[in-house]
Amino acid sequence: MITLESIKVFGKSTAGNFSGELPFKSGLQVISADNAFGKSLSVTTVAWCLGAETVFGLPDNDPSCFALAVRDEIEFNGKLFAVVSSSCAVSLLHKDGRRLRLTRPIKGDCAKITAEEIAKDGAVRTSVFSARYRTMQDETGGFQYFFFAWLGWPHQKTVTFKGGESEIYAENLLPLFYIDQDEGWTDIQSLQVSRYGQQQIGEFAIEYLLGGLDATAARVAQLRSAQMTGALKEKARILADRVVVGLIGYGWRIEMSSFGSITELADRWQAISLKDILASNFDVDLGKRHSSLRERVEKLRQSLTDAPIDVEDVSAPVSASQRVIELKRRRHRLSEDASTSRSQVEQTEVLLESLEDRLSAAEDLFRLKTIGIGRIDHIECPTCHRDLDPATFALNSQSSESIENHIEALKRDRDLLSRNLVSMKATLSIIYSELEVVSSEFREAERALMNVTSAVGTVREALAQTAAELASAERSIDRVLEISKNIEVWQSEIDAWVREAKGVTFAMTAPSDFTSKKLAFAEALANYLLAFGHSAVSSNNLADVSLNEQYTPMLNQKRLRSLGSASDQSRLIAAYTLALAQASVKVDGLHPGLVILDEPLQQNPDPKHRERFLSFLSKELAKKVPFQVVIFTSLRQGEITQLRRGGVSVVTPEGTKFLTLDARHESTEVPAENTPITPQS
Amino acid sequence: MPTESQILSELLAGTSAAPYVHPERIAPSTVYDLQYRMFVVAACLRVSGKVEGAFRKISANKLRLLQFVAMRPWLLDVVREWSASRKDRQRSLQSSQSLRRGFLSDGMHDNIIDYLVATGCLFKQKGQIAEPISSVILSGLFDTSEKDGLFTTETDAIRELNEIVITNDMLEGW
Repeated sequence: MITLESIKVFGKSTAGNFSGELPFKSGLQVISADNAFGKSLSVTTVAWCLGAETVFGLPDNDPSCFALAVRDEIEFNGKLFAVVSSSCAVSLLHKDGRRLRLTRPIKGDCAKITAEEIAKDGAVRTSVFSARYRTMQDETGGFQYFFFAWLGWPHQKTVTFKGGESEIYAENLLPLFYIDQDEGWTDIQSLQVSRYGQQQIGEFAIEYLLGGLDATAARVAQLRSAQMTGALKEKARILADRVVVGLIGYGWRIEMSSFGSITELADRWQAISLKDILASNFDVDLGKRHSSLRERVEKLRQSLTDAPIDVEDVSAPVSASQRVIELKRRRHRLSEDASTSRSQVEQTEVLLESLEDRLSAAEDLFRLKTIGIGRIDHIECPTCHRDLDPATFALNSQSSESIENHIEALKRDRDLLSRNLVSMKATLSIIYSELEVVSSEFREAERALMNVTSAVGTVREALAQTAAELASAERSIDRVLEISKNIEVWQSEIDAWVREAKGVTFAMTAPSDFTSKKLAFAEALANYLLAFGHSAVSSNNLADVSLNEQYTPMLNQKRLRSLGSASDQSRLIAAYTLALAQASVKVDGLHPGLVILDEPLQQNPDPKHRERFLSFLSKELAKKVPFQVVIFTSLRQGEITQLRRGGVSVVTPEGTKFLTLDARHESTEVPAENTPITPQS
Repeated sequence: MPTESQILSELLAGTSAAPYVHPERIAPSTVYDLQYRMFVVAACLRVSGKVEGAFRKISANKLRLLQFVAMRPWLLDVVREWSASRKDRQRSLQSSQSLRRGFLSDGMHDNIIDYLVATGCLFKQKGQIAEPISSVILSGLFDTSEKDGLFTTETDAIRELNEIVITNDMLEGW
């Protein structure tokens, strides 16, 4: 736990040196000053000195979150003076007595943060860190690496949307204890930085501050597991598509679904043997086919080289011609089949298109009926003014139930038709691939016939035919080898996928001890909501306040929203922020023990809202917080008196402006290492 | 009043049969809904009608074709082919055969027009269908549906049909 001891802004202008400082104490305190005093300037200093300007949506080292008064021109006594340089500093006190003063230039080299560590015995050690560049990764020069160590905060990994890792940064935690005036009140964790692509960073931040490091570790494991599952499923889908399409290309259609959980899929695919499937479904044994082709090649080679030739045998031209005729017939039949299938596919596509159009019309009509636009319930005859019943014209209006049923029927038809279309396309692919094989064989047979018929004498005819058959058989062997090789590759890919899927360790569930931390948070939230006077929460339904999986406040399983009053939103955010700090103290979490609320009244003139807020501040729950709460606002004199009478610490800084010219117009901007530190208790 | 399916169920229940009804299988198509057909007529008038005096008018035969195709946009290619072949009698007859049979025998369209004429939403004027500009029933139905993005497929189909040449010869036959 830390305490913010002071905020200081100082610099040099053409009018001279200027500065402003606000001291703080532990517990609850309200800093009340008029608008344009410089409250927001001092609040911004905290985020800036922690190197967390990204919460304002700014790029690294961009000081434009500050007012122009410290960046460009500053007004003194109604005159504007150029700002030459400016810096700001915050002093923090650790609960173990160590102090830290962080100074960062606003106009100047704002990429550096100077940290002065002051030990309990007063020894000072000064270091300069990089504010943003490798702030968490650089163990010697990164500011956040140093700051986390000084606070005793452990480093915690998160998972990014790209599948990589990222740390939890200070700017991820700040939105839970730092609510700025401009954006902080728009939603819970509205300042959360999402641009780093960390997944579920809001949930991570809450678990971290509640000290649920094992819960964050479990969340990382779950996210990794989900990413891994998604990647494995996608890999399986691509692999299944490739294998199915590849086999269709050889004329074999198999079912290889990638549906189901990873475990189910791994079990199912483990049993897959493409060779067995081909043998059982298509009676294909590539090994045997290869052996028989090799035997045939051997025989043909022998008959071509040294086997005796029957000079009386005149069957070669006849058999070559017969083969051409057979192949031509097969090619013709396959062409016809392809034509029929293609036509079926085209018709089904048109039918599917018409179904989509009809479905769209039915869905639009359903919307028309349910929202009631242009519904004509009562039309009368323009002459006799009697009701005209559409039934007289054999017309009727369908009920929305009837249309819903029709939509259901159309959807079923569409699904059925879509599946049929996939099947038809697969069949067409098989026919095409077979047609390609047959066409190639036909061309070979034609060439063989030409050679045989051009040969003179039975011997040459027989030799020509044998040579053609030999060439054909050798090409068949090449084809069988190519198929075998592809099947081996696919099989090895399937086996590798199964091994990978079996090797994945799936996410563990959240450890049970975090439940108590979450319950403490929910309980504190309920109490704070009641104390703040949130319209939806009363002492009767306190037990119904809970937090869902994303730590969103819920009431009776419904999201807790502003019900009766628009200002409920700021009450909800304030209650949520304070409840988290309270719960963290109770469960010994990692919350820094500091809550900064900038203008919780939102300059809202609504008397009830102000009254409820002041009433909250006067309650014991607010006054006896076991952590530091600094509220910057603008109260009326009567309100200040009322709060002080109720024992609330209200600080009203002197003067009309936070920054004033120093008494002696000489430089107060001494180097950071020489700046005297005055410990404050 | 019991519905047809209830009557049928009771009859079957008297026997040893166990009636099991899939309501979605007996739900009629949206093409038979009065409001849907009224919207389509309204859209045809708005997109293809011409304002003449106090009326927005369209040829009755053209309206018959437009509304038929608007509800079946997949027929747009057939109309295109028909239009392209309009100078070749033989080809024109072949390409329009199935389409003409469909839209010429669309009895429900006649009922819709009769109903809208009876309610004073439309008038029949020498082969033309006219909608009074002042009438808000059809134009209101079209405007509000278009604003809510309903029936864009039908409206787009009518717009596409406007780009296709449709002659009187095509509409009135030979």
